[in-house]
Amino acid sequence: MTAPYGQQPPSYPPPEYPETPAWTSAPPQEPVRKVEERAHPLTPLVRGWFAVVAVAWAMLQEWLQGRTDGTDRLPWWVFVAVIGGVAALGLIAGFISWRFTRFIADETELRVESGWISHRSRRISYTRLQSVDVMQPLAARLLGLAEVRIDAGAHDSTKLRYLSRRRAYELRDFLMLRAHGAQVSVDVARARTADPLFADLGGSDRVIVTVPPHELLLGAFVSHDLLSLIIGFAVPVAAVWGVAAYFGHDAAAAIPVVALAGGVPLLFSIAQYFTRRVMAQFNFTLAETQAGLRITRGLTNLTSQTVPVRRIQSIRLSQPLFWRPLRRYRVDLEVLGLGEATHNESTSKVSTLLLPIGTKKQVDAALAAVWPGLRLDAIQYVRSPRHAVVFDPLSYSWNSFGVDDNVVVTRRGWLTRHQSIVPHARLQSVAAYQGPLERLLGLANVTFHTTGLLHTHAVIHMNADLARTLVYDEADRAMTSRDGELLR
Amino acid sequence: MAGIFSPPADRWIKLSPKYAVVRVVGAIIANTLFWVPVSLLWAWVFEPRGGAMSGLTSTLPFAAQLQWLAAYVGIVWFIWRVYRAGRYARSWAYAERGQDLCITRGLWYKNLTVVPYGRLQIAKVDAGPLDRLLGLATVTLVTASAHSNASIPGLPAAEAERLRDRLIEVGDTLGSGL
Repeated sequence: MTAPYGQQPPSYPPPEYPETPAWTSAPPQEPVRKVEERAHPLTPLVRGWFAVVAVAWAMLQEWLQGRTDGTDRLPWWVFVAVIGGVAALGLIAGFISWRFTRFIADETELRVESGWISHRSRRISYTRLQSVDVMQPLAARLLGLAEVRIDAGAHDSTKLRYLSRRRAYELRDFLMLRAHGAQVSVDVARARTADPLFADLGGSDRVIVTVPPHELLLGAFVSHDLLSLIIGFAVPVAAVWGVAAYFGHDAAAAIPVVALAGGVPLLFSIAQYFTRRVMAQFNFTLAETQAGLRITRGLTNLTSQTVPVRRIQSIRLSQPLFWRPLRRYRVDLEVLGLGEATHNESTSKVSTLLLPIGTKKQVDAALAAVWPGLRLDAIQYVRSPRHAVVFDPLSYSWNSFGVDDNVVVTRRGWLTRHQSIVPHARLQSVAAYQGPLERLLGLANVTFHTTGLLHTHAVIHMNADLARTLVYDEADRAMTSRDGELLR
Repeated sequence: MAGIFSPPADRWIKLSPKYAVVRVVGAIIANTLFWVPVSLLWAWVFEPRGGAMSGLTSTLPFAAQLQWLAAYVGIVWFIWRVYRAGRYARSWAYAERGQDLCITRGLWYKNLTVVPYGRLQIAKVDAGPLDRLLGLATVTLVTASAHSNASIPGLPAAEAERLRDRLIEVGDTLGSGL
């Protein structure tokens, strides 16, 4: 088939299926007219925006410096020409990319065609969609535009940028309904979509958890990140001061200098740390929609992630050391395509966070939204034997595992306590390993492999005989268990 | 001792004895490539008369022995690794148990991996040049998890292909997806 680029592909009759196909509502003999769409025409503006600002900023600084030095400054038309040139280049590049990108999302297929010099055509299976996210960086948001990011499989995500915000939400809702197996038409999804400016919530959506800013500040304040930031500043400053004092310099006289040299940058980075983190997680809302779980967050950059519940491979609860007295937890989820666990909580990109910080009650609400059948509190935990304290003096009392009909739960970690919940039905393989010292003490480790990359589904230093039983039983349960009970 | 790594079914199926040859040859090549240049460099640096650090080394006791220290260490390590390579190859075994495949390996650090057939996505057969020379092949089981890391090396080529086909057939009938 060598249809020239840009032309409609020849429409072939739908294949013969034994079941009634979903598109029988449209008479099959009538050739279906494909609706090809383009991104929003303002897209080039958004894509060129950043380069223009960067160049303008650099030139402004140059100009100000020239003014204070008293040296000759460049004539004004040079600035205008350079900024104009960069803007024009950005616009042209953006225009070309926009001109050659089209997509089709209808009853039968999802296809994205792109590329000017080399063409690329991607067709994504509706039933294999992992998650669909709508991102609104500040520049796009000011123009009422949004990026749609489609994850399917472990490959990089397919991005459609930028659509009008309404169209982005519509497309997202349509794709997610299809991902859940509902045979909706484009028009039905369109009628159901709301177009909110801040929250991305429709009338039928149920809010499960919202995280207020003071909770975010609390979490940021008592985090390891802040502590390591302060230590990172304090240690070099103290070292320099100590050396200076040792060589007979007046230590007391140095206090203002040290305070200025060390304190001011420290305050700046702490302020930046707080603002970035709060801005990224601002108004964090976890809601249940008909298309799956929706996570909306962000102050300037609005991020909206939608995850089909059936695609969640595992969930991890974490509790850093300083959160323990506060009884706060962080919850991550594992979905194919989200990649590794998100460490940077100030990112506005797609993340594995299900809840950045929450009380036990909020965690339970979030877990109930994912797996209503989960009975986490009823699980009995088996701890490592007493002599395992040799290997884990600090986490010995926490290391344990628990099993019920649906899930296997593992606990480990000392600085940050982790608790992983893996449904048997999502388990890919199980492994046990044992080193020479562990063999001497009759201990062994068991790891549970899932598709995700959270790396913590392991029981460490458990009784070796029990480990053998656990490995084989878990392999059996992986085959017999179904997730139906967990999901309903 | 019943032991965590005792066979799940009646017995472990061992690999072809020829696989020990593959590991031994591999260990010989790798250790030679590492130790010969390291020993020569060491001998050159610690040469007592006229070497790069002769000013220091000529004053030390056992200067002559020091020059060949790396070579002695290398020879001992070489013999140890080659000896262990054969034993490591013989420690590798697999067994089929009901609806999953079990693989065990390792001498000091022992490992047992269990892959349910239903999770199998791809079964691969690979053979390197030395494998082909000896008529061996490696079967690798690929699941949706990148950590599964389940492979059985050193199977006779025909046996490897038979195992691959069988695994895929059983996996197809038991398959349950993501």
